[in-house]
Amino acid sequence: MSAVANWLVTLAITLLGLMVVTFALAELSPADPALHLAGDKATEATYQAARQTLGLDDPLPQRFAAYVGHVLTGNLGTSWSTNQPVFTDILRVFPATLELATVAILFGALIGVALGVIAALRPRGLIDGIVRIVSLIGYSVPIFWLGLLFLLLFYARLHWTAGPGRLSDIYAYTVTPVTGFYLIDTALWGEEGSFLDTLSHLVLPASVLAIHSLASISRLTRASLLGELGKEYAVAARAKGVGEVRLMLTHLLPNVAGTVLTVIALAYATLLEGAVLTETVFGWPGLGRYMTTAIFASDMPAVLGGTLVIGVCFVIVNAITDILARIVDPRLS
Amino acid sequence: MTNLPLTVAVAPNRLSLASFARRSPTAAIGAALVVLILLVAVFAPFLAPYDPIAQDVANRLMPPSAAHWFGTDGFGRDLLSRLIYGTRPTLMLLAIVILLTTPIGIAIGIVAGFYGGIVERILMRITDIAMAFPKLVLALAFVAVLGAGLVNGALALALTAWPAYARQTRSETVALRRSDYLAAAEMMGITGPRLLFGHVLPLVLPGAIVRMALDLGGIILIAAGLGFLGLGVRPPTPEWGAMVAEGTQVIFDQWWVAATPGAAILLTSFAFNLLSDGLRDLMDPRNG
Amino acid sequence: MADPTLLNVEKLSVRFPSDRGPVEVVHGISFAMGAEKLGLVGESGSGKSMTARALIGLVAKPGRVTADRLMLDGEDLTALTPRQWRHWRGSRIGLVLQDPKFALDPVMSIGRQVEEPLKLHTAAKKAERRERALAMLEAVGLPDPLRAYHSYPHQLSGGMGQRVMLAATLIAEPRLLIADEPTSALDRDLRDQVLDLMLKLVDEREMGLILISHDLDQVARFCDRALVMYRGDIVDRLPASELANSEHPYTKTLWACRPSPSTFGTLLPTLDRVSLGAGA
Repeated sequence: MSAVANWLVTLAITLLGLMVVTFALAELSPADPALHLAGDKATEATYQAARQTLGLDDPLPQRFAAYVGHVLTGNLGTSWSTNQPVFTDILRVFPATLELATVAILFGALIGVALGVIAALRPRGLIDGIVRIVSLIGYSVPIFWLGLLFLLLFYARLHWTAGPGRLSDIYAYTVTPVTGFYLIDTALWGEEGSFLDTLSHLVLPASVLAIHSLASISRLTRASLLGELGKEYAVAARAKGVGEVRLMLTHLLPNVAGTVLTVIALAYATLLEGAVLTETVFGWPGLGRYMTTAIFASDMPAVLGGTLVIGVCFVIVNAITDILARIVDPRLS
Repeated sequence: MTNLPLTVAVAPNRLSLASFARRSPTAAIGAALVVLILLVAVFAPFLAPYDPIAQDVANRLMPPSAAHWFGTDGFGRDLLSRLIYGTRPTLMLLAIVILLTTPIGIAIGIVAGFYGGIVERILMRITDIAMAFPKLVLALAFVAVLGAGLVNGALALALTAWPAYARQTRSETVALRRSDYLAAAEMMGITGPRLLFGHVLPLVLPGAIVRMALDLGGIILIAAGLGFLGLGVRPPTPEWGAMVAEGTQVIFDQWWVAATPGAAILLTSFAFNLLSDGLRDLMDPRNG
Repeated sequence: MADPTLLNVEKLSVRFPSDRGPVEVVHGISFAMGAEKLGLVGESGSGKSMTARALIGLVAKPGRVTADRLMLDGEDLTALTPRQWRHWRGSRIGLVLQDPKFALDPVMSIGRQVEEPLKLHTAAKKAERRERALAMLEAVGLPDPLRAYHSYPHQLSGGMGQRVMLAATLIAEPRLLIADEPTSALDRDLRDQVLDLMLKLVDEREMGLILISHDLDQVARFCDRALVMYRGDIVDRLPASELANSEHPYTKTLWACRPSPSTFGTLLPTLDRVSLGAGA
């Protein structure tokens, strides 16, 4: 049990470290929360009272402890733009990002692994070379730029997909956000055509978001598979009459599954980050756009709250990948 | 991540450029591109046909033509010149990040790897924790809260980039600690900082350089992202990410305003990724 | 009833390109065998493993295999397409490798791995495959075949793993079995057991066996004939029982070099390679 305990402790310390960082940023910020609370025209007394309420003159460790306490109870402060609790705001927008990221990772993982397998079947051949270059380019492309170009090409010029946003205006108010995942909501309770409309809106941002992870997943799959090719059990399998494709799919791929899954999980975490830029370009009402709007409005609690939430997701997904690798490999269970 | 054979030369062999290019065309092309971009940045004033911040509103949003090879932006500024000058903030930021990150990361890694014990455990704990943080988002928060600008951006990126170097350097140092090479040096009476700097450092440096090239490609993208969100260098200094943002308004009609700076970002990131791929091939004995 | 010449090899060569021009690892060797046990001995680098790989069509690119004649059971192996090769491997020729720790797929169950040749080469359905696999596992002497069927390689000992390899190799009833150092990774006590088992199964099925080994004692005891290879050539052919008495200088030295408790503390003879001639 001590391995699990170790993992939990590490996770807890990392999360604490994250809170240290966001707390430090809040402290270092030139913006004065007391001033914001009291207002520009407040008297000195009101201002001092505001400082008291926010506990700004308490000693540092106490302030940090209070901060941690607040976070643990779901209090991330009040947004300076919407005047709503940041936590509520974030809960509202999070499903949109989650939906986008999940569709993107499915897309990226499936295609990435497929490309990696195809490249490994004929190493150093033409297809392999093409896959390597394409994934290197995919790795180097700025996603906000790619998003813009995709909008230009597929939406504005070719009219193949819908434009920015999650739903067209005609459907926007017909959908009852039961789960917050429009794919589910429109499929089960939506009006005629709203599901397809959702899909049409999802395809571009999900593709853009997927490109980066697709690149790294295909590279890693290819490299891992090639690494397995020379091993004894591959030779033994071939000696039994196993052909190239069968060897790849039934023997090699399961052996590298742990590594590949780890990369996929890590890519998922990175997607949550990438969503910030993608959502801005596509007007996607998720956590990413919430963050950028908050940045433009200098809404410090919202910015730091969003940072903390994304950071926590990032850290947790990273931690889970450790466990994932173990589960998949029968040798280590 | 890299497994450097310990027989990496104590006295590095002098490889001729030709053999370098033959053994890894990827590295050669990547290096050539990087050098090209560097030269563009250095010689920008001589290469750019116009002043990058000179406005000419009468000629705004012109398509590519003989006078303006890449057209003009919303203020009538020549895009080519802005692209050329845009190499500067990008490379400057990279330089600052490198200068901040690598010494700290390598130093921590060497100390942790060499002294072991409680020192190593504490340092590696901190490294692991820092490594688990999301780079882009923290950089974003950092810059959003403390103010936009080149230095802040570089600082933000450096703060999240150093752990990878520490980790890698530490594992290489641990491997070296048991080597005869180090034991011989110690027997000659070389200890302490002199041992660390004179003997351990040169051997862990190549791995760090490869790692750095790998990171730079990603850092360029994050920096461009910051610029896109208006958190980079202050206008009117040309910066590619910000230029893409400026072009967003007119993307559907004057698409070149946003397309060209993005292509520049892609090219630069690609160059560094290519270089690091090639370097990794060179260093890995398996891929001869 | 078996073809007196099961395997007929004439001028088999294996070549690899290198910076200094093509390197011949196997130099145009020729030999023939029936349904007997042939030992192939030599030191590392003699080309014995490469010969085995060539016989089963598994020489990896960029290596090239050429032969004037390569016939198994009357069929011309040099004329086989890759697709036909895939059918031959496992169903007509079998290969047992050295270390079950590495030669078995770590994440696939034993049962599936033993059944695999049946799935590939026969039309047997699931239930039949399972039955045959269990029967095979029992035939190789595993005490609890059902348990082994559901196990994974890391749960088995070295000896059991080697038995499993044998089961998987023989289940589709090949005509020729090539065993490449099958006992080198096992403890001394297990080696004879596994070899006895191998011989029993080979005899029962009237198969041919090529036993590749650097252990001359083993070959002398278990094989009918022996071929001694040195640097890609066959330098000596003799009945296996005569290995101790060969006149050939190389074989003599090999035999004399066998380390054993009796040679403890003495200097082992070394090979005078110069007088053996530059074997290319």
